[in-house]
Amino acid sequence: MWTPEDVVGTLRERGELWEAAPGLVGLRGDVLRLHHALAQAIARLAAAETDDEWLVPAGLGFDTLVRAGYFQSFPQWLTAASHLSSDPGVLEWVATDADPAAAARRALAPADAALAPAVCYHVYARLAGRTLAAGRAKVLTAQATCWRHEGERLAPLGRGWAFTMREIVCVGSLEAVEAFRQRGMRRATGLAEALGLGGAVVQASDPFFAPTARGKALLQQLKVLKEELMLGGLAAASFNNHETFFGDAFGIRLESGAAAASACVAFGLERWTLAFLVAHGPDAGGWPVVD
Amino acid sequence: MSAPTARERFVAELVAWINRKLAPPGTVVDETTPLFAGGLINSIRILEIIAWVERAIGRRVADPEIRMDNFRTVERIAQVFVAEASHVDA
Repeated sequence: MWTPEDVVGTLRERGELWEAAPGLVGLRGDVLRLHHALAQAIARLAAAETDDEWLVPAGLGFDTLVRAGYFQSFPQWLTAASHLSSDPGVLEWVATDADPAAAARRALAPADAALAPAVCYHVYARLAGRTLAAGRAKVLTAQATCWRHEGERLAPLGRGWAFTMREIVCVGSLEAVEAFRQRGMRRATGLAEALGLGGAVVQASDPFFAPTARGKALLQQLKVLKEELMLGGLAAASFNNHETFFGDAFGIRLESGAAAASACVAFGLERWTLAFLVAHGPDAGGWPVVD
Repeated sequence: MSAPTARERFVAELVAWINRKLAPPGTVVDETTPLFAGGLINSIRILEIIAWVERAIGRRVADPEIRMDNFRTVERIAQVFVAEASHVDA
């Protein structure tokens, strides 16, 4: 059994992993092929649930995050998307400054958009104001780069500032979304077992921002709204029942007029890659087939 | 007529407090009302209930004790946290 640090060290030495900045990792070679194969295995798992695949935008407006209560829940992770001022004078000043990076920092326009911290916010924004067809839960899937800045806790593959997330999202009745969440748990643990990764599902709560953190986390715990598949000490997948939180926030309704419930099953692909490498080593010759 | 037990008193006082402080107009909660159905209890109110229970039983409620099985109804909270003959200072 390898440690995550040994795996990362070996990949670094081979030139198959590098960091552009803390938490921003590049891959090539065998480890990239493995990463793609795992992404495809997880995409097939999602395809068993739905054929409605979305390519979501790379970022989203602050208005969507406001509506989702993001600034009350996880402001600590936010990565904003800004751009330089379009004023020609300012651009001239940046272009000719002896320290253009410092000048550019001062010339950034105020941000009004964020790099997506999760895939599913896009879904609620797209479904906002809609009424779902009778008896039909909406289920879809998307894979995207997500951004969460976790300060000093960044670690290559284990905890990236940017990382790849595959989500399957279900919007429907409370019963439908919980059944979907349970199916997702079974599918994810089945995949981990098939890959020889073992793992265990544990009850969890989100790291909500204080001062509302304790109440939100305890409510999640009490109602068993969040569980995680732990692989080698890291949550490689999470299974989340939001009840009607997003349905209420985005005006998504069932035919009865009641707010729709939602759930999502999320996979952190770099963590699956790391768990696989820890279990089977960094040498491709020792890897089981991923299918 | 015998005096109410500590648990009976706890139940009566918690039901009265929830109806006074937490229940929306037109909703009456009794000891068997499911507390977590229909959005009665949100993230603020769960903290208020826990704080009320802690004051009543004179000790902290540990996080692992905060499970649906222990907080489903007022009756269940009393069964879990108040011994039949205990002193309750609600």
